[in-house]
Amino acid sequence: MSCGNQHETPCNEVLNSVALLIDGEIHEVSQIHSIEVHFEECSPCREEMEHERLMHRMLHEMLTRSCHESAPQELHDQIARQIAVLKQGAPDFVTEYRRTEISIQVDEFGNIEHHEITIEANWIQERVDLKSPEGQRED
Amino acid sequence: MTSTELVKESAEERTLRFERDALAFTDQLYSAALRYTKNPHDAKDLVQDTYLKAFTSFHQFEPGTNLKAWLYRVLTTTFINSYRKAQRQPMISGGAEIEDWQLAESASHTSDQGKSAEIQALENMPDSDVKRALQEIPEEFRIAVYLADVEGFAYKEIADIVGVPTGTVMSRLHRGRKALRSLLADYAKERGYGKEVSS
Repeated sequence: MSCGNQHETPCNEVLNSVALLIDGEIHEVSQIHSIEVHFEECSPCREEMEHERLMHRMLHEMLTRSCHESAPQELHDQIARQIAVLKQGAPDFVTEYRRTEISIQVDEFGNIEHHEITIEANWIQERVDLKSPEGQRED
Repeated sequence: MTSTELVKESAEERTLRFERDALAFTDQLYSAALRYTKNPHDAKDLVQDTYLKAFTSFHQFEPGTNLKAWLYRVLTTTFINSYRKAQRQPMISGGAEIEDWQLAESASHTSDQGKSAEIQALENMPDSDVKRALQEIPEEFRIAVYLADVEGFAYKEIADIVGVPTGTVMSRLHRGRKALRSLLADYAKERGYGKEVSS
């Protein structure tokens, strides 16, 4: 169904984008703009959008409310016990952060006034504790 | 110019960081696990497994990035790889998912009557019905809807958590929400609320 009027962006195209728009997943400014222009001239689409927005909000509130649970104490305890055991044999780690900075500054009219390039890299390495036996190491 | 910095974190320090940062999500992960597995017993096991895996690979988690998304990825992949198999729930779609969900019917204007009926159906919907509806929709849809509409993850984050392309997330979300809304409307009708309010 269409509102019967001619628009620059057709109704079905706009309606197909409504969910994306509500989810904040349209990142192109020009696309958002053309949808907004459409809403200004097409009230059925605008109402559809408002309805969808309301439905989205209601569903979100309803889902958040009804899905909110507290983990049983037993689970918290089990996890705590598990971590206490795991940390016994856990290795230490050394992370190497390497940072390379390149700065480019080109003259007048040679363009590129200022440019900085930063390359970051890190490596994680297991640190072998001299006191710990070889057998405890993991890859 | 290159500068190098070595940072050492002992197992003890890492454990403290894990306990402080990661364990704060226990209730949240348990809530998600309940929706994923549909029962408290499996949900507890799933959360425990998740924390076990998260702890042993916590050194790979990059501080400053999204810990919640990282934990949800561990939870979701653990669920998909082991619990679903155990529960013998095959994926509903044999890989052939409709990616271009935009071809879907939705592109039309709804009547005012249809709109208000839909809103009325959602009003006063008991929690038990919401949970029931979530349980009834196919697993991939349920996970997508949960991650988007309960946890508020962006499509890209969901794609990363579930391990599928963004287009698939959009498709699952679209179909999941639609299925959920239609189920809730059915329940409302069954219970006699929504639709016509006059008695």
